[in-house]
Amino acid sequence: MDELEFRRRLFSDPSATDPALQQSVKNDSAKAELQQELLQLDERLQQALRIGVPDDLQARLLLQQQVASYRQQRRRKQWRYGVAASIALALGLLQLRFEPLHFGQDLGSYALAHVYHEASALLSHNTQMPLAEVNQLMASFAGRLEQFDGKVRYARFCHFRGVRSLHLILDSNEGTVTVFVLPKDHGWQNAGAFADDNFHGQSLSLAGADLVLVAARQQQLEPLAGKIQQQFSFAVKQQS
Amino acid sequence: MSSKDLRYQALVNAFYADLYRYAYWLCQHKAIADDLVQETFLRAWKHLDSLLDVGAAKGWLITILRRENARRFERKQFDYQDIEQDELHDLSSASPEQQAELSQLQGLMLQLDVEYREPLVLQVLLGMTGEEIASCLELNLNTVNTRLYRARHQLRELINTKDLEGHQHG
Repeated sequence: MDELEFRRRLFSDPSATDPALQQSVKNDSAKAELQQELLQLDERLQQALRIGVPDDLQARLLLQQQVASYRQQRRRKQWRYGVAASIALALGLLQLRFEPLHFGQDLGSYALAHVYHEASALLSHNTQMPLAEVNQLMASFAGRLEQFDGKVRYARFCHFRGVRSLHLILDSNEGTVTVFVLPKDHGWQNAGAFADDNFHGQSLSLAGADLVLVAARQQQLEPLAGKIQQQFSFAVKQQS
Repeated sequence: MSSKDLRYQALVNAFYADLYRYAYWLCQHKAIADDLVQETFLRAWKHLDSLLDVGAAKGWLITILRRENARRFERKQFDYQDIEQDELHDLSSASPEQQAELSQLQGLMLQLDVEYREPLVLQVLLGMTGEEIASCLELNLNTVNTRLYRARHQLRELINTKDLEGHQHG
């Protein structure tokens, strides 16, 4: 094996065990030294590549499957009990004549459930995220946050029942607010204003995206909503 | 719990950490890596029946993740400048000198072109063979070997340059 071929093989896999390579190393101390150096580099590289993994990632992945599994089961059942379902639907429609719409979940109650689910994020993430990093995530929604007088302390994609949304937690003089950014075609009914014992919220329909804001009950939403409306911008998708 | 659920959970437990790390080194952004891993496993769940050979699971997941990543570029081209390398390191067990060195190595890895960085990550972090990498990246084995060769070569040169600078300043 000539020098060039030796280096090619060694650099492409320093721990290769092919006999020709081993033989060259055995007969030449400089080659052996180079092999040692590259093996050590690989070892340090392996350590360096093992970056920290988010603590809750594993739990979120398992949860996501349970939701998917539940939906699939439900679909299957719906098929199997198709006839029964259509009778139930007919009965349901009859009942609707006498009762206002309240079945299913609207955007508001789902947003509240989400806030409860990630309550720990509300309390624990207290670092300021650089605007550039937030805008990288906003780019998925063709959105931008030019400036925000306050801080963004949490930003992460999450799934709103299969709709990809961006979950933000903002701190400002007007208080703390959780914002969900959803694409226009999310398919939910907009919530308007909603509330429970601890939180209240409202949905905000902008030109290029829908937002859902949730804040603590004692906090006023109006000033926050005004501020957010001014500082968030979204490109409007061209209808093709 | 169905056997499909159990298979999925085994898959998550075995590969989520490595997949997240691979995604990070591919896209260089923690939140996007997180999202890619979620999308990948969601897709994996939907198509779990098509995974017949457990031994092929790693390559299968990586192929899905790469596709998801490509899809992201169709959606939107991100601007990768000004990325902070904060909280990247899981080097808590290392000594301060080692930490500095590993942190430097992480920075240098990000300087490599993705076409060289990616096969190197697959080989060193995920322990894949040249043949496995070739099939994941849809390249022939010679090309993979050349890229691995160049990746280590460039990395070594970057390290030597850094060391030299260190000596000059130190």
